[in-house]
Amino acid sequence: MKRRDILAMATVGAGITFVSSWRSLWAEGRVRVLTFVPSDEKSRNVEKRLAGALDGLEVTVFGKAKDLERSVQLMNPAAVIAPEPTLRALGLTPTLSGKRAGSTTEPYVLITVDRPVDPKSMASATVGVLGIMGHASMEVHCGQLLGTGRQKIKTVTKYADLLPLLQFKVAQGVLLPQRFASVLTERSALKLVQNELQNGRVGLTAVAIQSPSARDTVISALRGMSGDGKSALGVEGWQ
Amino acid sequence: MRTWRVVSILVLAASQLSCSRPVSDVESGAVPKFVDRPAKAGRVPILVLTPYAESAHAMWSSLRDEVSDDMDVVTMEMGESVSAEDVRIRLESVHPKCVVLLGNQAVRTYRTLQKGGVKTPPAVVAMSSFAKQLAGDLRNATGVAYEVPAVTSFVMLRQLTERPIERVGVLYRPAFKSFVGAQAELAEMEKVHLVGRSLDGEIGPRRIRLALHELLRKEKVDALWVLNDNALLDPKVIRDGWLPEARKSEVPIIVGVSSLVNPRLSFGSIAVVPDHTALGVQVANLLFELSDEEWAVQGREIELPLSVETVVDMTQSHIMRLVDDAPSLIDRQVSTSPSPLYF
Repeated sequence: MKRRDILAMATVGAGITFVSSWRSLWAEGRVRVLTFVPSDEKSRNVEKRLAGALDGLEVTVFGKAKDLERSVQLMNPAAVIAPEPTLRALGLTPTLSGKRAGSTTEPYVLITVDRPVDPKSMASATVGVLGIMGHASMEVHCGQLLGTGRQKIKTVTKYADLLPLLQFKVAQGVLLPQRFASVLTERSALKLVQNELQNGRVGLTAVAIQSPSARDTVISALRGMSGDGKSALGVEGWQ
Repeated sequence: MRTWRVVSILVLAASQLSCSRPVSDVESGAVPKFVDRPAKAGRVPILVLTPYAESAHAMWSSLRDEVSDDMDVVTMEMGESVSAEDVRIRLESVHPKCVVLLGNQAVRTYRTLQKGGVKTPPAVVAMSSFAKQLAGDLRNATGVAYEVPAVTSFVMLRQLTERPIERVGVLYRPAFKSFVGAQAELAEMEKVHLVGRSLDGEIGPRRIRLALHELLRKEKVDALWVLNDNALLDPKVIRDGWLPEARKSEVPIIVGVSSLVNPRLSFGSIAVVPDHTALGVQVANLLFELSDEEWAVQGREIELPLSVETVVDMTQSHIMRLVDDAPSLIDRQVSTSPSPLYF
């Protein structure tokens, strides 16, 4: 093979790589954004709300952290929107942090049945939680929230699914953001008790922008989004 | 013509209820391929025996993704021609720490292996009717039941409707007595009282009508819960027993198979069925626990499924009296016939 042919092949190869990475950042002329928002709402409803609120962005919403993780690896999107701990677990640095009630973090509570408990006493118990990272990382994350070290956990994909864990006595308590506690308390006739956590604040939804060329588009779309869009992401503004 | 349509739908529904069916609630469209990821050093091998079915694929892919940091999922499709010997050969080549058995055929094949004296790894049973009984027949097995607990259905209905849901009627055969008893106990926890009527002997349409009449008029139940029992859901029994009384009843009817929620039938108001993606996560959690406990399965109870999906017949909204935000909570709204009709 001549040197000229090798050069030509290398050029074509580089071109294909460039085009495919460009295609993964952009979808049909719009900036591709992958999203995972833990919520009690169905992913397709969240996606619909975000599509209406984010002009110029092609938003895909995933119902599980693992689905987001896999798609981030495969698609190299321009931006990723997810809870701050999820982004960090994926090795991404937040460019924007969501704010709610003046803070970029929110309080979590431990819900138990019939009586209050000291969160530290859950060390040998099983605790239910919505999975926002891989299993091992979630065990550490929950242990930090409860002050128990590595916590034995059962993960679910919807906040509502934490209730059966308590009904069937599979978990002795469940962890969730305080603003979602009513998902369980309004639904159930069980006597559910909210226990506050001493170190129980977790980062809200944040945004990691991976493509410098899409930075301005993403930031401008997020800052200009409607109240409904922000509410779908569980935030009131950005910092 | 209408009678034929109803019979066609019922035959379809009955076929979905059959225990020998490949585990799914609704199977439609092409099933994606079961493709394993490349094995990585340091990850624990898990063998999954699965039927070739859409619902099984949803569950399998969710399970594979959840455990991917720690475990390698190796998949074996359980086609008709797969024998116990084929499974034994696969066990020898994979050396799995645990085997996940999806569907009844996988369980039966594994049982044949064990009866033949083959040393088998611990097993986790899922997507199998009566997993509790099946796992009991296996050595060294646990799993997740496939039947949605009544309490989950009642809490879901209560969330969707403005109607009070405090007393729910159920018809059952004596063989289901202990199952219904356990469901009643769980329902009481959520302050729902299960009112049962046991039907022994031969079940015909007339007996169904009389028992339903009693539940609806005398007991004044707020809803009916229909068990996934072939004998109670024979097409003729539905057409001449359930339907005439149900259409007069004006109370929501909860079913466990989505094909029974069909506006042309006017039978099930709401189907509460397993969420297969979430089931994959639940089985993954079970595998993590077993891994922490050196794969010791003995003494473990069969878990109940945690997550469900809902299918609602929107033409019955006057009966359901749905709350304003109900549409956002329903997974599938049906307002025209979703099932293909075969004439």
